[in-house]
Amino acid sequence: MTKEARTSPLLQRAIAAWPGAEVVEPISPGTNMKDEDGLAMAADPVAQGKRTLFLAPNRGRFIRKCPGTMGLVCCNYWVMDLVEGCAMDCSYCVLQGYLTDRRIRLAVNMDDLERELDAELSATDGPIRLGTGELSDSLMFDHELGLSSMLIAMIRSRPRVQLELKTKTANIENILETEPVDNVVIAWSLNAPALGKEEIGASSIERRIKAASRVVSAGWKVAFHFDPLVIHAGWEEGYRQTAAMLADAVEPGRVQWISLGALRFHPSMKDVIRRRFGPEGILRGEFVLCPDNKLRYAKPIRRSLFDTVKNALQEACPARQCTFAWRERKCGDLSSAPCLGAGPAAP
Amino acid sequence: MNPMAGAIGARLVMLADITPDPRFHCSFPHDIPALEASVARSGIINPVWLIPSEEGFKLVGGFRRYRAAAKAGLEKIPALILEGADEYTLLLLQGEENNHTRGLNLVEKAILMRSAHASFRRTHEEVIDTLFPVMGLERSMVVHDTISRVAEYGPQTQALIASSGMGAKQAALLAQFVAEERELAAGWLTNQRMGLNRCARILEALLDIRVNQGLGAAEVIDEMEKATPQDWDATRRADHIFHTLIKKGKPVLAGMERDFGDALAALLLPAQVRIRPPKNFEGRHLEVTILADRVDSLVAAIAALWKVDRERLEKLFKWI
Repeated sequence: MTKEARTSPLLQRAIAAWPGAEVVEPISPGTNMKDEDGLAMAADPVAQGKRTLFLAPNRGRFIRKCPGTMGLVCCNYWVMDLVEGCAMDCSYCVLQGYLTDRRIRLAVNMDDLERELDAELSATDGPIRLGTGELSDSLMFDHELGLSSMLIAMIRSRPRVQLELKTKTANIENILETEPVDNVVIAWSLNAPALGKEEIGASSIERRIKAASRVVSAGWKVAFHFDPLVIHAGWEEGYRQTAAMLADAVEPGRVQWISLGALRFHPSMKDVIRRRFGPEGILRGEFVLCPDNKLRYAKPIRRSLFDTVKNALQEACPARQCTFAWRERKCGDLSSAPCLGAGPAAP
Repeated sequence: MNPMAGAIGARLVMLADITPDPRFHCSFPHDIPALEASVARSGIINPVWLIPSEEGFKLVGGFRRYRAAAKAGLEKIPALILEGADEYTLLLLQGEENNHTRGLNLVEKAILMRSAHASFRRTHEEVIDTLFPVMGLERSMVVHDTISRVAEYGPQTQALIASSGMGAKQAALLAQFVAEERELAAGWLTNQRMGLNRCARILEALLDIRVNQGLGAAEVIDEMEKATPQDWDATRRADHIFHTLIKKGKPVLAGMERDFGDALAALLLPAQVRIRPPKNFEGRHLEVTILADRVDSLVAAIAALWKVDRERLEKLFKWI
């Protein structure tokens, strides 16, 4: 931590949650933002970085508009970087090559976040759809640090903000103990069950869906992201299975949206994935370079993936209970994450 | 202390009194014809580095000059005698000097690292702290592990790495092959005289083909050789092999290109009308070019396009 974090309640919670952890306060300003030295000497700096939680004030911006991807439909999303880095270790995770500081960084200056959010609201007329799951998992340390309660309390009084807490965990105890808020959506990343081996440290798909069901029963709105869709042995059946599990467990009327996104990554990630997870696994499939310099499955494969999952969801969800609306513009958008809005059917 | 501080000015030393110390030898490839020709013509210009030993002197820097001098039959060569120098410091200095003057290739860096570990008993951390800066390498255990493996690779692989100027990134690709397959692919690529970029793309394609189609490098190489006439010149063969192999690694894309080509041919457009899809079919527009050297030719091309059956034309836009 930096010296500014000494008085943060988050530090006290972290110490209480992980009593065996060594607490280090860097003594020189030069070492307080990065500890690349220790990580550089690790055989797997990405995995090693996940073992350090770094508490420091965020000196930059907390909230920014998601940059989207060149030439593709933008879902007009804002991201809040309260935590950067993730304790889970998914083979496809873009953070392996994206973040320069490999430790999990937790910002302690929540007051600044609140001020920045109000400034954005006064500068913007419409609603702000905001998520914390871009550079981290929103609930990964929720049982230890209780960040969701702090964020929900902040959003409750700001109805123009719609907050999405996106997770691969079943850490919902704090959510269940909190009064549901209309402008907060709890979202899960879902995949075919067999992809569980690619998501080290994440809860199983069954547990995630069960958690979603409990959250819905408690009165919360939910959303789901089938992202990244990955070609693997038995993928069609796998995605049908997840769609069926979801439809069985979650009342469609509480589902705010379902998004689909096929696997995509910067070419340099291929080396990282091969080194850390081997040459097979998620690298199986035919990838092509796209104009935004990301590798994606060739278009016929993407179309097949999206069609299969879309159909699986439509089949699993009876037509009278929900409607689906594709937000896509021809096949070009198959490279992004088309959204299926699932809501009550029109009478 | 800088070992050069203890150096006695350059003096001529009998070649017979010099014994190469393999702990300091990192040159790869071992011989350079241009240097040998120069030494045969003008002798040794820059003195080699020696340290005194019981039998005379040990060679610690300038191995290729020494070999060239021996080949040229020189009896004496100029040398700097470095008295009382710490030997590991000499290794670092030698690495630094070589890296600055000619740039060490990755095999040489790997050999130096192996020597630092095996002959000078330096730990991984010590090597990263001391040898990496003089070789211009990023301070990283991942880089250390990647380059270390290069010293254990077979001669064909090392020759490819050195001749194509591969860096740690490409060496990491080679690490994905088993030894026998790596040697085979490397020898074949060296024979095709592929540049660095093409080598890397072919290695990527070979890995993709193995993962997606279950074919090993030997089978693919054999297939490429059979598909490429032996009597073509080297450049034409290399071009053909490169494009065929890349296409083999992307069968879905190749199918899209074939379908597009068939659909285009069915339009029976004049040759002056060219229609191209975006690269990898990732984009929103077809590129339509009309080559016209006069108005009549332009009008004829437009008329031909105008007459095309719309349904057939739609096929071109299937993936756009």
